[in-house]
Amino acid sequence: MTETEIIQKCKAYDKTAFKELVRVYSPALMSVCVRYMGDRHFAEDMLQESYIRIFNNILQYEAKGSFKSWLFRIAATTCLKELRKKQVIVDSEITDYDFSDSNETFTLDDESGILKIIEELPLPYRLVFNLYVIEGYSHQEIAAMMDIGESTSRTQLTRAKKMVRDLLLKYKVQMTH
Amino acid sequence: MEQDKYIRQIAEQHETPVDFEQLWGNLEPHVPQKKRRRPVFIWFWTIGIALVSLGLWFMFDNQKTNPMASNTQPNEVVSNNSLPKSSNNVPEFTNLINEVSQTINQNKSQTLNSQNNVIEAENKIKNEAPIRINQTKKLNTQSNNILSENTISPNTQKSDIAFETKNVETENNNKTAFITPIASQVHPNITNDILIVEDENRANEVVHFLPIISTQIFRENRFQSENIKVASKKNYNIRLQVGAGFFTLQHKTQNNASVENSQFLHAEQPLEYLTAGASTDIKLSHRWYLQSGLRYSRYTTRLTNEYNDYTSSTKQGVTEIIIDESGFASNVQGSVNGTTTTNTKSKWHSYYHSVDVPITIRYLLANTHKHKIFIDGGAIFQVWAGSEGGFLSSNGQLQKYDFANNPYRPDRFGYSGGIAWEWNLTRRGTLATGLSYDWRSMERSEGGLNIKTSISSYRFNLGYRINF
Repeated sequence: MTETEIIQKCKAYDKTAFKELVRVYSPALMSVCVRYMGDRHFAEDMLQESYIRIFNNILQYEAKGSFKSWLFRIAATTCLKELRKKQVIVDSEITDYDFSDSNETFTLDDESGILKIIEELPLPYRLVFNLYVIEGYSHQEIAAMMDIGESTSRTQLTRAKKMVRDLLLKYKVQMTH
Repeated sequence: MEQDKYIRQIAEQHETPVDFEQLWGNLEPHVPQKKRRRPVFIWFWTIGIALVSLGLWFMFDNQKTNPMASNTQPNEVVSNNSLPKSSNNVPEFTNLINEVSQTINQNKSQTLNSQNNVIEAENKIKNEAPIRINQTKKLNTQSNNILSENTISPNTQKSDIAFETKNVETENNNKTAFITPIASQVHPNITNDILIVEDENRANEVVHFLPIISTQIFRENRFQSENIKVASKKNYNIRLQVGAGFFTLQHKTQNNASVENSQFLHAEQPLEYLTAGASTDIKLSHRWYLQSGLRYSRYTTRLTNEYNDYTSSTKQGVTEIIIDESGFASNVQGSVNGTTTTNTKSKWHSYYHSVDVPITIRYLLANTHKHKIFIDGGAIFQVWAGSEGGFLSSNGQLQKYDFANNPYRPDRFGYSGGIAWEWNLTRRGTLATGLSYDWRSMERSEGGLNIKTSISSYRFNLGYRINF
């Protein structure tokens, strides 16, 4: 079943299409949820919650953009919503972290290695980093989504990038490009 | 930047294995079904439309007038002359009959014109709206004399001095059109002793800005977080709402004796009921909400009053024409005592205004993706009330009043309840409709008697809630 067929049949409330939707996109969406939640158990809950929102809003998808991006956005906002419920502290600075050398090494295009670095970022940094660098949101959009100021978003991104550089050094990442 | 690009590509392409069967098992119950129109919403609209129609029917039906007619012509003829002798001159008699008829018609015409002039003058003085006048005339004059046996028959013509009956019907919304009955001549045919007036109070809705800020610090064990600031989240909403419906009135006297069968109950009739206001609600729990705001209400009533004026008068003129045996006719001058009856029907609109603060607890009865149904109930606290219009006094007269001399003392407390349906049209906008019942009361004193009026109102609401 192609992506277009999945969308059309889901809009017609075809149960098999929904099942196919879950089968095809779950690994990618799970990856998004893990990046935000930092914990597989929470991520599974958020994946399930994301799919319920996708089911209920499938009629609103107008094919103006990539379907996958639309799914990712729903997953990201679902995770953010949950994190906001927990009143996650976004405007904070991490001052105490161990950047001592690690025995692990990987290259920049090593998927697991890069994601390990992202997951290792403190949650406030990880949120802004994910939203800005990976999802492509602007600081203005991030500020609105997270109820923070734009300047806070910029500051946290700067700190996140600095920490990413430190982590790249820690894991002796090889630049292959 | 290049690093960002690579990281983005890697992250987007990365996939994490998932236990599909377990996931689908959890998701399958949430797969949406084909949408079908829920009968509850159809019933909701049906009931709403029916109530509005009923209200409109009440409003327009009450505007019908009951024509009133009264006929009163007690006549008394006093003849000044005695009957002359009879005559045998028949031809002259015929001519005389014609003359008599002309005289009578002339008198009738004069009488009628005179009455019209009086009525028109009264109307001008009272500054009334156009009055419809139905006039009937009746000649009824009798001679007190006894004719001799030789009198040619018919030898007597009855005089035709008329006394009219006027039916006056007015309908006024303006204070200046108030009709004051002629005190000395009034014979009120309204037997009610208890006056009634309407009051109206409406409720509104309130806005609460009570952001729920709870602080729960999420700290990862690997890091020590310092310089912590809490990101707070505030949700506000405001609902603008209008409503329309109808209401009923109940009157009780001081000792709780019902005043049923009093004409007053029929004199003041409830018309339309309108509200407008703004409110907000805050979520107390998953299903419970607190709603409050400010609401303006207006109740309109119409009071119908009828009364008769009986005006005695004496008219001078020819009361008899006597024809003697020779055919000679002579007019008998005299006076006729009669009564002119004027029936006046007045209609008076009263307006009862109120500004209220309703405080309502709402319970979420049903919830779907886009629709919510609530039942609610609570109290109405009156902030301000005023009225203008008229009421029927114990002597049957219509008394007007305005805001300054409003005789009503509204109770500050009432209650309300209802059902509401909210339809999420957009992310920020919600259409809100519902049916509500309100109860409130007010009191008026007259001659040591306290009259308590309860208002039970039913309305259909339509509003729009904005979330921000």
